Amino acid sequence: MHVDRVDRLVLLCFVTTTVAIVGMVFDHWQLVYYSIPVLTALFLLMAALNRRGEWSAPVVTGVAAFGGVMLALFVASNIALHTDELIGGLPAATAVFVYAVWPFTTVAAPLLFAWVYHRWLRHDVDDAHARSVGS
Amino acid sequence: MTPVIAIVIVYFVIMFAIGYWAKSRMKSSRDFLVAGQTLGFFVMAIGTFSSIQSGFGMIGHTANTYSWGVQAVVAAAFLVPLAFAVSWFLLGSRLYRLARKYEVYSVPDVIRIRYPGRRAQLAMSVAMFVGSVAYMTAQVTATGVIMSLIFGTSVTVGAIIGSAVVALYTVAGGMLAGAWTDFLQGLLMVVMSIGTFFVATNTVGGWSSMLETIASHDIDFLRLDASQPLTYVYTFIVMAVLGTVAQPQLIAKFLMLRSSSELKWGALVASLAYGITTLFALSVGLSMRALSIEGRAPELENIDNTTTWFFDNMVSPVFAGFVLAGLLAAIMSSANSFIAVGASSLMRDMPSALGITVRNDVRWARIASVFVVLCALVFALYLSQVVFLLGAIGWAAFAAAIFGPLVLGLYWRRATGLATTIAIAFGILSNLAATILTAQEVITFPAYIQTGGLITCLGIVLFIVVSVAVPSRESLDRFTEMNRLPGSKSVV
Repeated sequence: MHVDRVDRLVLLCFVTTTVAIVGMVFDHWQLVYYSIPVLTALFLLMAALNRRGEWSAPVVTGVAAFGGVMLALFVASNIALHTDELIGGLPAATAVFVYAVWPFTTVAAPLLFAWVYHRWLRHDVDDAHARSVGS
Repeated sequence: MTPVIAIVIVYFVIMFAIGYWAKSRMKSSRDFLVAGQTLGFFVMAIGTFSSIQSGFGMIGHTANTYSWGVQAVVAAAFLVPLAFAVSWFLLGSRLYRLARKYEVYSVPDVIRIRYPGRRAQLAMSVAMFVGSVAYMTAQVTATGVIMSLIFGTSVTVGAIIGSAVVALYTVAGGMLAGAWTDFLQGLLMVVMSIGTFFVATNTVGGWSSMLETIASHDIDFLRLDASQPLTYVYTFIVMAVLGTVAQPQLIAKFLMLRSSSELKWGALVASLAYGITTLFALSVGLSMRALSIEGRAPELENIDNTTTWFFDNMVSPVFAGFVLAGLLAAIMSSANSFIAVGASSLMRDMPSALGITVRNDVRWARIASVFVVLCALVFALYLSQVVFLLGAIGWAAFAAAIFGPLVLGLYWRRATGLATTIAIAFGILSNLAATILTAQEVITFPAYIQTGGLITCLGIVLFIVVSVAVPSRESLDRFTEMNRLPGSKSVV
């Protein structure tokens, strides 16, 4: 059986989850922490495959951009963890989560879905809907 | 009659009216279990968020924020809106297609179609039933506490009255009533959370003043590594995100949509609604901490009283009544979803896995719903040891049991029925074992280990390993068939 894109993505999920488990068991929080944006990006890439197992270049670019921004925010919070600077009344690392990660993921991720769905995934379900109505 | 009681009685009357309306439209188990597949995106998305945002999400997160600091909501709530988007990405179009091609009303139905043999379906059906009763038991206990506060009854009487209310409208109208009551309850939670944010922060001079009060006393309370170790906090995030995607009450909502166009904006609605209701725990938890620092509130010995102390002492009775109705809504919206999930597993999924055909399916769905509620009531009120064990079969057990088999299984052709059965057994048994062994002090985990997140990840890894180690031609054929267009010979 040949190895396809989903196999590769599942392998990457397996590796990332295993790394996270190592972090959870041996108290290396960075391994758990960075697994969050990496797993998110992998799941979104998997979901962006249509039923033929194809990606659309703009969609992959959009997902990668979202994952990149999320990873950058996680890096920023990590760097700020041990500074004494306050942003908006909160320690800098907490502020990155409260004022950036939380609103960004709450708004940008579902907007990304709406765009990916409209541009790419809806063609799959339109097929299914048309067939079920016609049958 | 006090304003609080009047508000809650009006709320109950509206719930009953929806139940009565839904009953008049009830014709089949499709109506009862998946609301006749008639939901638009707004009703579905608000109902999805409200079934995830339970009493624990409102009252428990508030208590933890008061005790741990901001890290409590970072751990348990801040990335849950992201999880809604991930759910729509991973499950939306795939489950919609499945629901149009097959008669799919539940998680075990998806497993039945995806994997050959009956073992995986039976294992998932049993897990759904046990998990639903477990969740219902927690909701019954929480309902008892809130009802006793409103009506001045004992917790037992409060639990019975509250359970009777949610059982009545769910048994009468199934998920058709459940979806619309979830919708109204979700709207109430959103409005209540916005109001609470402004009221709570204003009691300590506003958001900035509240943070200054806390920071001047103990800046560490606002740090990400305030009370719990960072590994624990981030493992909690992993469990919250993966667990949200794999909750059966969320997955079932995708089977209720009326058309494919309803998928597009649902994630945004659900994410925003959940994000807004997080303001409740954030504002009440932090303002209670600031009030304690200022000497205006006592240092609470039992942090579970954080929410009730605040609304008993810091706001008007009318607003407190509004909030209590909102908290009841949070509890009931989760409860009715689990009644439907439990009823479906009992009257449809388990018999199907055992090769039994059920006639008069609506009548049996109603009887099964009553049975789920009665089990939860008996366990909650009279069998505290069972409650202790059921508590272990919650969020993380569902996450470990469902994520691999269902979420990965929708995409990955190598996923197998054997791996599904093993992942389900592992999810349930490992959570039970961890709970029992730590409670009996047979084993002690270090403070940085969050067992729920760890078991969730181990369940996913185990599922992948078993699928690869023991491949199944039959499971592969099921995947191929599942993705074949109706009337088409080729796999697309």
